Amino acid sequence: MTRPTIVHTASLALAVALAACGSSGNGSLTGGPAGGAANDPTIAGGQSADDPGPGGTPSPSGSASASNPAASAPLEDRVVDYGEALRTASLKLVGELPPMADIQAIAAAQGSAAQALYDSKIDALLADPRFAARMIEFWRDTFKTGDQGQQGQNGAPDFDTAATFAAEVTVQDRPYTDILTATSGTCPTYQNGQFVPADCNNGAPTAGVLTDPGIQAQYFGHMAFRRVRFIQETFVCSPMPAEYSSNPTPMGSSIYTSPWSFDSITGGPGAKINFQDTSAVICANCHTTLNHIAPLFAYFDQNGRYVSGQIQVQTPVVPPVTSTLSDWLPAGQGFAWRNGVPVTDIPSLAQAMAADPDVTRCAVTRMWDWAFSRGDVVLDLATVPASVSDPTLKDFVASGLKIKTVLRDVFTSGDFVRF
Amino acid sequence: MKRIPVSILGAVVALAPALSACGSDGGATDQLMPGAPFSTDSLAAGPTNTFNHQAQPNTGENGVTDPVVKMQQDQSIGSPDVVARLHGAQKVPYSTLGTLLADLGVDMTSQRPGSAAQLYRDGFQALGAPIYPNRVPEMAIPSTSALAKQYDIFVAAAPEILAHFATSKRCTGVVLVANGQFTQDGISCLIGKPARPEHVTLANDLVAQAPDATTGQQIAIATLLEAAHTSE
Repeated sequence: MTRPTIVHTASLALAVALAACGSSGNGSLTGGPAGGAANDPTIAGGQSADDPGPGGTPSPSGSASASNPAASAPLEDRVVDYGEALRTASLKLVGELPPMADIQAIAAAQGSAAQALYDSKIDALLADPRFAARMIEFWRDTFKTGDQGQQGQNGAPDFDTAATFAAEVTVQDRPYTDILTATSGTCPTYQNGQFVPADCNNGAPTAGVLTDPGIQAQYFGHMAFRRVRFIQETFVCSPMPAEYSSNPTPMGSSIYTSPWSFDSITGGPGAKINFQDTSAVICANCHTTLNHIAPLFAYFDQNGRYVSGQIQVQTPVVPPVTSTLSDWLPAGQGFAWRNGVPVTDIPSLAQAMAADPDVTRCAVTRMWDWAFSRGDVVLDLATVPASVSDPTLKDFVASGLKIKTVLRDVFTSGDFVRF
Repeated sequence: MKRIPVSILGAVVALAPALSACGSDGGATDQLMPGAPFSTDSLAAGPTNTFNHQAQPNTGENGVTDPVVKMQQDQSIGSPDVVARLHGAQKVPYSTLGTLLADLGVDMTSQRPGSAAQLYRDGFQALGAPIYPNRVPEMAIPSTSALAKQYDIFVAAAPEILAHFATSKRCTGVVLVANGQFTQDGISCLIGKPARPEHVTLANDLVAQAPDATTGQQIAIATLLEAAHTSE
């Protein structure tokens, strides 16, 4: 092949590739007259933007188009494409493309039959044995924790058990809050397509993945702050600061925004770490929350083993020393999930989290973002407005917090099947 | 097809001020650790060691998207409501890509240099596979290198796919090329969704412009796969 031919062919190839990721909604890959697949009922599952049909075409959620037509133009340009939706859903839910028979069936289906067929395929995907393996991958990525050969090295635990347990809760349609509150069987393995229940046996008072040895080892660090950050970002979907006062107060170089009393955390001249420092930023904006939680996780060592009565983390002074309770909190201060929500131990912290509506909404947000390939809600700022997630959130709560209900809602939504 | 444009800003840095430091500027007023010298080994603050609370290992940065950049990107699309309701662009997960290739008849155990299997194994970092010991999850948004590596793999896999298509696990009995022309069913099975007439036309155009039919068919296969899997 001569070089010009390579360039020419590559250019054409690139044009095809680009056409698949944007372009107009008319479905034309060749730049020909508008229409094509979008107006061809045999191609896009019998639906098109121009012919929404009296039945069978799901309504997209939300009301942006009604309130602000200009702002919602990208939504109106989309077309229903059950073939594309099934392909995307299949890759997400079972990690493989749909079989040829399903592709042909979805292409041949018309109107409401196409939607019914598509919905039934989503149900089948959620019941597919391969769904379990995909959920383990999902939770590994959500927890940023998975075993890639670390287990056993210098006493390291199995880093897969947390993701496996969360996947088990999801697949078995147990309440989402079990991921936080379960008191037994929280360290299962996945073998030959089956979840094999097991306890963690790391000496901790068990509370779902919160006491998982792999999680505790993965997020080991000074004063257990990294462990609290993991909990906040993973289950509340927002970074610190986690709490805001309705009456922010100017202080030092900035504004104190926490609802806690400023002196509810350790600080001052005698403190190893002055969490009441205000010279650069207001440490207390975050640390009033952090310091009331972190000591609970201070008893796990670097391998996730719980050592009752002996703090296992260090305070980063020079040289670092084993932390003491007074490094976080002054005398008289107790532990708490949030200001006004006291807890006594990790299981009670888990119960407080399970009762927090922000935790419930976060689960919906994470599933929505995953389905729509939007990235991470914290790292990529892929937030989902309440106007979008509220219908699914209602169904989630009504179902008894079953994740499969969320997934079915999202994957069959009018937005998901539109491209 | 409407999707949010591929963003490769996953590694954009943003030090959320409220999270970035307790004390930290190293000046005379910093009272984080009264009387103590700063240590570069400390997770607390120092002139050369501002406590980056969001630090991600191996990136040197915090990995959080710049809120201003994100807002500008979103505003170019629409309201937050609109942005949330559009599909984003996500790369095919690393493990899924391997399964997909194997199902299409590619020998994923091959040790041959330049084979699809070899490129796949060696390309796990470019493809954004997870590195959990470093608390790095599977890349959610495709980078330019991930898409380029994926295309390299599809090009390398195309001869195997062409040779084994009708006997592959996924497309047993399906004819991809008949009488020198791509079939609609064959392309549908290849890309995992109902092929449009335009897919068939473009694939056959690629063949017509290639120096020989086999080369053209291989390029067409790689191109169809890359197009299908650029945005899942």
